[in-house]
Amino acid sequence: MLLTVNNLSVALKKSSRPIVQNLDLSIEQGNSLVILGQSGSGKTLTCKTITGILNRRRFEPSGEIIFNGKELLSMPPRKQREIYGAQIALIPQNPMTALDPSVRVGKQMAETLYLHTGLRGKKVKSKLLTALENAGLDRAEEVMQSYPHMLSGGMLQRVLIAMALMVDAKLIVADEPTTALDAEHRNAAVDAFISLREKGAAILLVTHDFGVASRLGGELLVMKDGKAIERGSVFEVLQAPGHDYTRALIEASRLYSLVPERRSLIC
Amino acid sequence: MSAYLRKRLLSFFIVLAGVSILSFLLITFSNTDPAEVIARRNYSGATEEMIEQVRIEMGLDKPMAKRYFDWLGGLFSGDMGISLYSFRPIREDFAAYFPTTLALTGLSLIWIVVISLPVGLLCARFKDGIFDHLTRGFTLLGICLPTFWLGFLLLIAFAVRLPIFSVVPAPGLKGLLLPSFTLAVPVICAFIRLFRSSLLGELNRDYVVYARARGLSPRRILLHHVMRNALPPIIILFCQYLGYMIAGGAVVEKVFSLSGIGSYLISSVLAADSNAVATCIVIIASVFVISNLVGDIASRLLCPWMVRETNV
Amino acid sequence: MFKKVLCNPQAVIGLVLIAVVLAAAVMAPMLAPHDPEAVDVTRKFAEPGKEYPLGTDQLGRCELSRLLYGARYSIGMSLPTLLVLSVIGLVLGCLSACSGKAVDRIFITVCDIFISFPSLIIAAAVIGVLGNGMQNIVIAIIISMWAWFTRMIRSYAVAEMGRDYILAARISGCSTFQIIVRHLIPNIMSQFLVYVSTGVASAILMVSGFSFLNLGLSAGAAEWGAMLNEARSSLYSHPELLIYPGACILITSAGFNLFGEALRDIIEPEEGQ
Repeated sequence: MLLTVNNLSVALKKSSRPIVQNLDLSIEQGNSLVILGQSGSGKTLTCKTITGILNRRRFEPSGEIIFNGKELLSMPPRKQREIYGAQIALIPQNPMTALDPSVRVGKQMAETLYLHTGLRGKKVKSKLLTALENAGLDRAEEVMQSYPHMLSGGMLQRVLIAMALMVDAKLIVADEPTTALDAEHRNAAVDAFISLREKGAAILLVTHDFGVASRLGGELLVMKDGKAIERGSVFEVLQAPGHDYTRALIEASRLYSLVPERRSLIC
Repeated sequence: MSAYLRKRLLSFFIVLAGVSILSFLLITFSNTDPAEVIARRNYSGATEEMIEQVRIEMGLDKPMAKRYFDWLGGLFSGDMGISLYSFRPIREDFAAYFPTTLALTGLSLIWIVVISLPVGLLCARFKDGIFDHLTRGFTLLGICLPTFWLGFLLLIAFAVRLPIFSVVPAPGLKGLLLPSFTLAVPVICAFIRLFRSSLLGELNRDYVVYARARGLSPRRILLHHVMRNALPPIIILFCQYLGYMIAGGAVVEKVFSLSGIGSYLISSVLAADSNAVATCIVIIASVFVISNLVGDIASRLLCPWMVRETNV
Repeated sequence: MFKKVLCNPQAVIGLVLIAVVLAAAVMAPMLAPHDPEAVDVTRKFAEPGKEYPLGTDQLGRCELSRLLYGARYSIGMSLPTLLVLSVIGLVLGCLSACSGKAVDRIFITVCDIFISFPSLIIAAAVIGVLGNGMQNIVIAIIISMWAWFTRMIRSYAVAEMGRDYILAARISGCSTFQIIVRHLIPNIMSQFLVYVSTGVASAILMVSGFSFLNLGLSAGAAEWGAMLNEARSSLYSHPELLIYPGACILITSAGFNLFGEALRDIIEPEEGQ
């Protein structure tokens, strides 16, 4: 197993009310896991805990996160930083605000690359260009020279994917990667994750969108109020949901998606 | 960028023109009649005709617009007219007083940068720690302090009780250490507060979270990313204070018995020397307007995404 | 809101300081043991004692009485100034925010021109033209600060005008005047109060700064800045005469600053984070 999460709970420090309760999950290399739930279900918090960006002043995590045989939660920060960004890459919810607005994209990529591989000088540029092209960006040279505000959300997301590619991240955690994109780019984004999986990376994708889950496939975990209430392969769950809540969610999302479908018929 | 620059330069020239017109109006509306003052000095018992004569010689009978452009042209060519009090060319007075002001302001700016940037960074890095709380208290105190009083306290402490410095200014750098520090303190306090809150505001932004996910250390995030983004408001304020410090220097100059532009301005006002006052005013205000422009452009270069309205 | 102010220690300290200075200003004739202007050259630099609780100055005037009367100058000049500034700022700021783009630009440019003159310069100019007098100091401070007030209130108002409830009010047929009076002013009131409170503090510092430079008040006035100026010559012999007036200025401006800051923390709790 690449990532195993055992008995993870996350509680607010002030109230000690757990927001995520006794969560177990695991992902194998070359596989994907979709965490599905509505807002407030604790899926984003889980994602933050795994990628090490949980605000430790406000939240108290407990349990175990074992990545590649090492326990992450109890690891000293210096050691943790060698893993985050290098082996575990995050694709954040809003790509538009994820990069420092005052530094050119290429420079920020080079900064991360240097930090994790020590690579600098002439080799860096060709490596960054390859990564950007592999992530599906055509004018890679131009992208590197741009400031984040000059690029669109979809392009920035590809930049972030390229950053995962350039360090050969083993696990890619994507937090609602499709919410900030318009419908056209949604499928393309999911396809990008599929191709990452084909290259051997493990994908952990958090979403509230059944369409995204069914396109990506793989394993599925449904969360409600901080607990895992259903798990299995995406297709099994969608075909025969075992839990009333899951059934209601699927029902609701079908009703909701009726509107755009009709529209597309008219057009 | 170039559209922004064009817009910013346009407003710069409009403001500069407005500043010079207001300063010029001051000479026109002042109680003292330059022709009368000059005439009375040159001829004892000057009659109305003699004053009229001087007025024509000085060109004060010309229409206001003409006089304004003459005066403006004089400013640019370095001929600022003569003082109605010392009867020397104002340019010579300026040459005598300006070096002190320049040294005083320059040294204060060094104090400001050297103290407020590191303290602000430390406060933001260790928010709510002892250092942060102490700094908050001191800076609040610092912005309530009257500068001249602080100057006297420093003099009492370091010139009377512990005679390290002298009350009468020593020549050179040593004589400017206490005055420049006094001038800098309120600005330092204001800066630390603004810088701290600007840094903390940036620390809450999304890119900081993602930078952590990229594996960057908190120190690197603070110094390479957060600071860069938090600097523009500080730079803008820094440049705004420049003009204010030249004028505000008057108070400090008086405490420490220095003679700079500020005290020249005040003594000109007390001597009803409207020519010198107008020149001082237009020059100090222009310094302010120019440094403001520099600040806006510099912060724009540092943070090119910034869509700062020039006016808010 | 009121309860929150009383629960905030910083605000309470600020209010207490303001109350003390206000009381001193109002009750100065009752509290002062002597006439602040009464010169007694035979008793100059008297030690503090029963008759002169804080001693006397270089002309034998009672220091305590002068300090108490000094509160009248500071408060008496800064509060009316702020009252006028508030009215000017609210009217011009709201008008600028609600009027069209061209008018707004003109307002901003005029403000920019006035902001380019440091307050000391404006005071110098006004007093140079109008001569000495308390009302001239007030005029000078108003001329130097009105643009700051207008610009600040305009930016609050512009932010508020962008909100949906203003749009809703417009759609439901409110006139611009109604929007300003019923919606805009009540909603920017709290931010405005913060600005006024810190504005009082800076007006107090300005007043004392001007009189320290002999701008505006006649010689011998019992104003704190002027007292500091007169006590300069006794720097070696009687430094305490330099300390008292400055401490009074500090207390007064600290009172208004502390209160204003606390008010801001109450209004925008996330600001301090």
